[in-house]
Amino acid sequence: MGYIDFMEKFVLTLVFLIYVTHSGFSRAISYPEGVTIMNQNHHDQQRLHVHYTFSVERSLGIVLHHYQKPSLQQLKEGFDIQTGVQWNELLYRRNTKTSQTNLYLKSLYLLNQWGGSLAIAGDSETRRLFASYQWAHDYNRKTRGLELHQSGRIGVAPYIAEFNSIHLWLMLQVRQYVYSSENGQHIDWTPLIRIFKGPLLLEIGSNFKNTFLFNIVCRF
Amino acid sequence: MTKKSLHISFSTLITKSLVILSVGFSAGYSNPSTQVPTVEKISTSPSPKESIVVSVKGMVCDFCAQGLKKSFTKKGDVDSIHVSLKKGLVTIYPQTGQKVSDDIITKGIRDNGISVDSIQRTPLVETP
Repeated sequence: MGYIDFMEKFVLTLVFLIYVTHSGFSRAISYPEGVTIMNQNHHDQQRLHVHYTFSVERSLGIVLHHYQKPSLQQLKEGFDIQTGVQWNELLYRRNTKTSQTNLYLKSLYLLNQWGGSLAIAGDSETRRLFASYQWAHDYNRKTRGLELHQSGRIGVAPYIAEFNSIHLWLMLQVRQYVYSSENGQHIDWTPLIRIFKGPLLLEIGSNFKNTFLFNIVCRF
Repeated sequence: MTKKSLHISFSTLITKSLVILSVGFSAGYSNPSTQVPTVEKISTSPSPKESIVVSVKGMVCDFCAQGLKKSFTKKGDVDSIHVSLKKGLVTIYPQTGQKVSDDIITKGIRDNGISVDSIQRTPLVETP
């Protein structure tokens, strides 16, 4: 094998691991001793979150967040990338024979600047229907950027799949951002498709106007 | 790195990832309408002497079931585990000569965030 072939395969493997090795778009806590890699790509930001689940009640992970939208205060100050540590706590879970309902507290502490984020997230799911909601409050002292954002999702599974089969969900996501520094807000609606099989989850969505979404989750 | 080049490199990465994933998913695709309930058999010993059928609550997605399978197959006293998401059942086959108590099963399932509804043990009939 030539050096270039090797390097190409090495880089592709790295890309695969980074992107594949998962979300508001999937649950913040996995199974005990599980590692989860979550990569979210929206039209205005990219986020990589890798976390380790200590128990079914909590997980700890690292976050790399890149804001692409130029109207965000962080970009004006040159802070377009945030790194941080995120702690997720399961506050409540209700299991029934056909459903699961969860309430999470998520706290993010930034490492490369002074700031952080606190979020409450909830989801409820049956084999056929899905609904989730997240409310988050970000603060960054350097830029005096105070940001509130909330997002919600509803989804339906067109068929009920068995264990280890391909699962399919049709979903609609809405996000609202409120920027105190700019007295502005932003709302977008994104229809999306969620597909998952085994440890891999993939989401692709777009409103065919000004938003796209591409998320990948992998649990080990 | 400029914003433009960063944006282009992200697009390239996304495109390559899509290709990799599409190959992976197409390789593992099966028609949902013709699927038989999956039986994940990890056999390590002669036939087990009993099956333990656990009716569970809250097992609504594949990720939940993956966690259960992972934690039980790690246990040395479990021969194999079968999961039916549709029926909400987990069937555990202990290793021959091994006892897996209700307490261990209940704890193992609760540790994965799933609730136990009932546990039913059935001796397996040995065939000559």
